[in-house]
Amino acid sequence: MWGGWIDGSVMAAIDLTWCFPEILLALLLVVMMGPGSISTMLAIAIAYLAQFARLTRTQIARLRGATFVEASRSMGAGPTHIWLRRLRPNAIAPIVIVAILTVGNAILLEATLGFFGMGAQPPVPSWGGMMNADSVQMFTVPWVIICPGAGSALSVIAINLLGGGLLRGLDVRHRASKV
Amino acid sequence: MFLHARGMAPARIGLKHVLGARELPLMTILASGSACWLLAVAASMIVGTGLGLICGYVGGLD
Repeated sequence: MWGGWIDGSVMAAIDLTWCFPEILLALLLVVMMGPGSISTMLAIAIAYLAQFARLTRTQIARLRGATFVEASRSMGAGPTHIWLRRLRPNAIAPIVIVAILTVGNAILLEATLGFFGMGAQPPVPSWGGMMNADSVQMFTVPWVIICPGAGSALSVIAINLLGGGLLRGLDVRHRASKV
Repeated sequence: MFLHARGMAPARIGLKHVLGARELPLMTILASGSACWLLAVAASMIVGTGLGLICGYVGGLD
């Protein structure tokens, strides 16, 4: 009745944020809220909100036609029971993997905002903030830029390796193929 | 091993020497503004997943 209308409206609003590149949206939000740790955090959270909402929505829509959901429905389970006991637990697993892989992108986004002077402000430590503070000496003492850059790159690689490991660890098909 | 041989309890070794020596700098970084990306992704995941679940539920009612 009205469920489809609410679903369509919320997804349309979320898709609107997806139209912008993350960096542009985050910059816009930080400019509106003023630079600082809290505004950076909110900007990054809003910039990546759409992908989580879309992924969860797609998972729910895909699982709704699954055999085990059909079986549950045929046994008399209501929509709330199916949603809570069948759809929700099965839809969450891929979200955790995507969240860990998103952390790498968020580190880069925070570093970019910090480099533009829009991230966490000193004395709060930040990779981008360090690069921004020493950018005037970039050509005389390049390591002041290279070290924070290498630090952020290593953080992203480490997080992505963790995400990859989790993906392999949680993927049942991958484990089954090794047996 | 040395501390263990001196009779120090494992919990005390863990808290005072392992956490203090190795993990504390990591904790300091995570507690600082540098880790705002971590909180941001957590907030984004919770709100986004919640929205997706609610939309999936109300969309499926029709």
